[in-house]
Amino acid sequence: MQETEAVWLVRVQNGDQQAFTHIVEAYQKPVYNLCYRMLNNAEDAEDAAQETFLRAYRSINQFDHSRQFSTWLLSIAAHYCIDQIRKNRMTIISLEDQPNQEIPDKLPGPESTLSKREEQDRMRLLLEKLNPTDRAAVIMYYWYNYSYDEIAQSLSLSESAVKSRLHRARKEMARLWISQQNKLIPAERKRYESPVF
Amino acid sequence: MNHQFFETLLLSDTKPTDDEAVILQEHLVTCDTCRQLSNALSDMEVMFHNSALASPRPGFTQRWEEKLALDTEKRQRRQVVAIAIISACSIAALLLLLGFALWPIFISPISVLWAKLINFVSWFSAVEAALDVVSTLLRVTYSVVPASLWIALSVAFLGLCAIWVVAIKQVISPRRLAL
Repeated sequence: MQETEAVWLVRVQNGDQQAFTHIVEAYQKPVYNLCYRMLNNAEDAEDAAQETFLRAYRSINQFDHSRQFSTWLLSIAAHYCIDQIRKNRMTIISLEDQPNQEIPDKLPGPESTLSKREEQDRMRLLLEKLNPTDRAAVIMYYWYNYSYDEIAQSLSLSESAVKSRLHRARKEMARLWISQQNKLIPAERKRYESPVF
Repeated sequence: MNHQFFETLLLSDTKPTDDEAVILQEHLVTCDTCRQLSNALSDMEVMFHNSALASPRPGFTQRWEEKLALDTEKRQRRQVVAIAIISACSIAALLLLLGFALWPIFISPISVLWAKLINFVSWFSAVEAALDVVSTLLRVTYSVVPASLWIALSVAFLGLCAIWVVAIKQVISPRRLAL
């Protein structure tokens, strides 16, 4: 894969647009996922992912072959999404007001779909509360298993900054998770309690 | 009780040492706050790690190719517009400068041509007067200086020329240049 990717990259740098199509094919899922987790909206994520590939294609000659291509590509996506979030901060609609946009679920059955959807909602709420750069760091850490160094490179931060951002993000998310749990438990109880009581 | 130490341990990405792990476990049995934090962190990690990558709608690559084609077209159009604007601005600036230069002719062409003619005639008479002065000076000098002095001056001049030519030859000789 790495070898083929290197060949594609060289071909793209020599002006072969078709070779970049292979790259789009190979990286569409990770790029889209990052954009989706960052922007919490399928339509915006699609636009952001398309824009990421466009920017990558336009600046492919600046790509340094000593770096990993995926890190470079995700770095473009993360920066673009951070900019979008900052731009839209004034007009952003709260997630609670948005219709539920689900990720295709491979597991059949209404119960699993429901629990998946609830899980997605919880995850979105957790991520939404983080600031854009912390959110990008969390996504890269948990979904892509990036090291601190890779996250630092992608987000143009120092390694220590990444560590402290992740520490802060985990703390913030855990606090939210606990408050969500506390809200959920009485609601669950109410649902199953007899009206007599 | 100070939770800070345990909180840092729980939130840290590095694995605690055996001693730290023992102390932490003992603390978690007695402390509700830290136990809640620990449970929340582990639940969250499980949820994140189990969460699949979101996929775009089918046909993403095709849509990207369409977008690239549109973007390329837009860029080309923008370039053409930019070149047209720059050319128009340059032409406008040239016309403006030309207009400033030719403005008097447009206002009164006859008076401008008349002024140019007078200018030319005055230049011509000035050159004629200068030539008169130079020829008079030459004639006076020739009559004042004796013939023997003229010969001496000519010989001296020719000698200096010969020395100059020899010196130049010496300087540019290939042997000297090779050194």
